[in-house]
Amino acid sequence: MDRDTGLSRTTTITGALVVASLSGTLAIGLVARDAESPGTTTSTPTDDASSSTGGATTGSDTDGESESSGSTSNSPTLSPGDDGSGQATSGGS
Amino acid sequence: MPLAETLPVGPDTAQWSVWGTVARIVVTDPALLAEAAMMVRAELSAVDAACSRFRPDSELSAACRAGGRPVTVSPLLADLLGAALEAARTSDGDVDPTVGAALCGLGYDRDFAAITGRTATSAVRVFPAPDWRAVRLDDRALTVPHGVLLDLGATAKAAAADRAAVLVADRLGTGVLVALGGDIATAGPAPAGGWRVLVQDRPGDPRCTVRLPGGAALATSSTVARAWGAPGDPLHHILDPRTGRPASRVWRTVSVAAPSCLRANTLSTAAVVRGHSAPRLLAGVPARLVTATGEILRLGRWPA
Repeated sequence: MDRDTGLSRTTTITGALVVASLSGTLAIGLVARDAESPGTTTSTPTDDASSSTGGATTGSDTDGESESSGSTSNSPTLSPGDDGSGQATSGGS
Repeated sequence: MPLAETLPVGPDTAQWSVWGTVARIVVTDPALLAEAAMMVRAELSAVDAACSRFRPDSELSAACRAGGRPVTVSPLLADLLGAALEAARTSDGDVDPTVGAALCGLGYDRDFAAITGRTATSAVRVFPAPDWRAVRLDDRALTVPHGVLLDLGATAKAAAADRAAVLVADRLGTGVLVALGGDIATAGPAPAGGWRVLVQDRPGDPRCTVRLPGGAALATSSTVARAWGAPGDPLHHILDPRTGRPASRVWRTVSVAAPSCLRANTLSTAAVVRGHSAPRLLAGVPARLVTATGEILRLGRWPA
């Protein structure tokens, strides 16, 4: 009887551990998938504007980020300029 | 290769080489251009004397040679160090000024123009950065732990752009854009429609033009600019402080707009270090990220 009880408890504990392990693995997988959301990007050959006017751009303004961040409160508002021109260039220096 | 500035130089613009890249200023009142350029040159010269790690006579080099003893630094260096430590704090250590020894170990131990074409030795490449919190700055008393070599490159250029722009606008009363490589700061009134900035890393890369309101800033970090090393094992200047190695090339280029160039540069640099989780860091911030294969991700209402 004691042996049966022990086996039963062992089976129960093992099952619980398996369930916990699988839950953890699933949670980590979901987080990892979410963190790799840049997969929503769209290929753009040489010119940002050309892809936008082609309707192919899927920027993440609506599908990849939260706008609830406090960082939006004082972020500057950018507007599009004439493509290919400018008063200065921002690139890797 | 540093930034290739290909835009024309008009009567409102001055441009020259500095720190292995291009300095460019644009003013809304061309009559004040010469005086503005002189002020910016003087400011950059002062910043160089304060914090260049390539000059043995700089204040920063002297502080790093002090063997862990506190030294009194100038208000300028205290300001630049404060900016670097603030960047480290707000980026949770992704932008860390203690990577100087790691950069040297990778071969970036002198002005970048002098290392182009050099190859680094693979055997001496693991230099995790010391903890930036070990650097103490109490007002103007700086203590650099023995053996730590500071590199303010990630933040000093951006802070210098901020300082120079404010200086010109305040003293001359003109609107001004100061661009130091990829780091752009503006101050004073903007031209009608805003400052027009071409965002493009290397020639042939995807590009766009955006308009910045007066007082706004924009910075770009790149894993292809300032790159060196052996074929098959390329290196670049943005290190992951936790490994002492160049950050993974998840992103080719990250551009960020913010109220200050220092903040924009901190975010763009940290985004490169964070790799796939960069979009979370940049949530709500106007940003444009280019993947290693040229795909573009726009965040925070960056214009299409």
